[in-house]
Amino acid sequence: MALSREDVLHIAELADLALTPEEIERLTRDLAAVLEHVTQLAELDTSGVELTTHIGSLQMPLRPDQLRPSLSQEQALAGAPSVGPGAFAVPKFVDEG
Amino acid sequence: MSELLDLPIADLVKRVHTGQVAAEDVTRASLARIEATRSLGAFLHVAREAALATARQIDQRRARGESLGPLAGVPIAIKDALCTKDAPTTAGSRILTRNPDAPLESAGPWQPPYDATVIERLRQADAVLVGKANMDEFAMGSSNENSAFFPARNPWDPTRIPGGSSGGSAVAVASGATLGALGSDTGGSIRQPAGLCGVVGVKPSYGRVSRYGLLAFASSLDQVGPMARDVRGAARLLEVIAGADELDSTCARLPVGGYERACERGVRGLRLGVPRQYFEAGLDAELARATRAAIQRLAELGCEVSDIDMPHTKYGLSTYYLLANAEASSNLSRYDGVRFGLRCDGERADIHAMYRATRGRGFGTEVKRRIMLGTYALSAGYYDAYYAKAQRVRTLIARDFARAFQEVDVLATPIMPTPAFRLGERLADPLSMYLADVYTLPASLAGVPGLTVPLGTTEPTPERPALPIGLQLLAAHHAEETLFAAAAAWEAARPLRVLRPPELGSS
Repeated sequence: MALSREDVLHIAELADLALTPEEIERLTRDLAAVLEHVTQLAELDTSGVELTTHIGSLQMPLRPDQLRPSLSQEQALAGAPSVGPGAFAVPKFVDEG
Repeated sequence: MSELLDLPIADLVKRVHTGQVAAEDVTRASLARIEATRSLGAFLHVAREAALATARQIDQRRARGESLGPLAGVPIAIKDALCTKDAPTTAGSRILTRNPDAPLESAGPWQPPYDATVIERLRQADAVLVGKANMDEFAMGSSNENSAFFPARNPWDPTRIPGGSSGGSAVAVASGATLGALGSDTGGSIRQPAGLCGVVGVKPSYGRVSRYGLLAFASSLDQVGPMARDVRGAARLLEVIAGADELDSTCARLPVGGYERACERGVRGLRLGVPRQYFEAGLDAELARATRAAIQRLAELGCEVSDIDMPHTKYGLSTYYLLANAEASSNLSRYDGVRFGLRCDGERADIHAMYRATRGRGFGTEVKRRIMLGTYALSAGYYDAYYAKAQRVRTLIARDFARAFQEVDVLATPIMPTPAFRLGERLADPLSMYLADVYTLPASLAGVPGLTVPLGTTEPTPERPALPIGLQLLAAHHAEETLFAAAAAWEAARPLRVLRPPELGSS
């Protein structure tokens, strides 16, 4: 399975990962090797086999829709690297869409 | 004092209940042994003051005549993937610290605002949580070498790996620093290190134990489970942590089994299957012999042994790495420098540059490799060929188990193809590292429970000291009681009575 440097850069972009030049080189090699291995799945005929997305019974139990104690605003913000008044502070962003 | 730490969990608890032994003394003994075995790297954080305070409260409550819980005074190590409100939690990752360059103690590790459900249940049972155990970063690894801070080492030979990802938990128990531990198992991360360190480890059925407060790796696979030196101890721990939780909708609303009672059940008439595909090329000859000898012993104890075919076993590795990493790429998107842990400024002063810089700096090599693979498997144009294909093969693997459990009650297999390897030996080649999990991955994909029980050790050679060998037992969904019955029967009949690393050497 050939995997190009451009493929790796594209995936890194999708995954929001900054990579060093060494990491790009190493990941191109490593991912190619793992993808080569997983192509063995293609030898299995899985036509008509359903997908397993979940193991066990998917019960979706409901609970009464009632307010109950949860984290305070202070607790929720306590671990954040940067906070404003009652909020997580982040760098500005512009909609590039 | 340290002989307290050699007691089986049930015996120690009895002595604490009757006041023969003070919880504080047990806790001090545990903290002293943690200190004495620090070079093994088992702990990322030692909760000394919190543990002593808990122990003193237990002793005071006993003195007032109050009744104590089923784990009263038992020192427990907690894998650092579980949230604890009185101790920091990093999952072995720099991204859950403030400073990526500082030593762990001064790096500002994340402090969760709440306890995981399993932690709450341990506290209610009067366990004493002595520290947070080392692990592969975000549970991604089979050797504990992917910890962002330092590796953990096998107490049987500190030049060797303890296994992973719950390596620190296994080392804590094997070195006698704690009587029990919690780990998490996504593809073998409890069973494999337990096997390599010579302790009992249990991966419960998918849905048996709440994951609320477990930092998620792969949500269709992750399970929390116990380790202990004796089977009955592991059974008691599982009884405490198992059961429905309204904070985790994937946790089954089924009554918890009588696991400790099941340890007395015996194995007469139990149908035990030996899956041929787990004994094929690649399995170390000495491990194969030891595993077969244990199966023979179980037959003498009354098991009806038969061979079983599980034809899709060899596809477990590929299926697992596609599915687990696809799920991980999604789960780990939450580490973005906004709500907790590390934030690094990007090259530009915008939020996307901040995300990329933070994640690029905060995640280690293996975590990046897996996020990349998972992102690729889910990306446009490859989804059907990789992710959907793997989900179909997962169905075939689950059917192998369903078919097997129509014929037998329990499967017996090796844990890993080789004994513990040396630190550094497989770091350069990710695939060779992944192969350490070939015997544990299929059960994870099928969601069935598994248990590791020590068999004995390898014969020492000039190059290699005696190293633990474990047996993996697997049973049908929610049939943990069968695992405990078989493992306890084996343990009672095992030729080697005490399994303890040589340099720590008591009895």
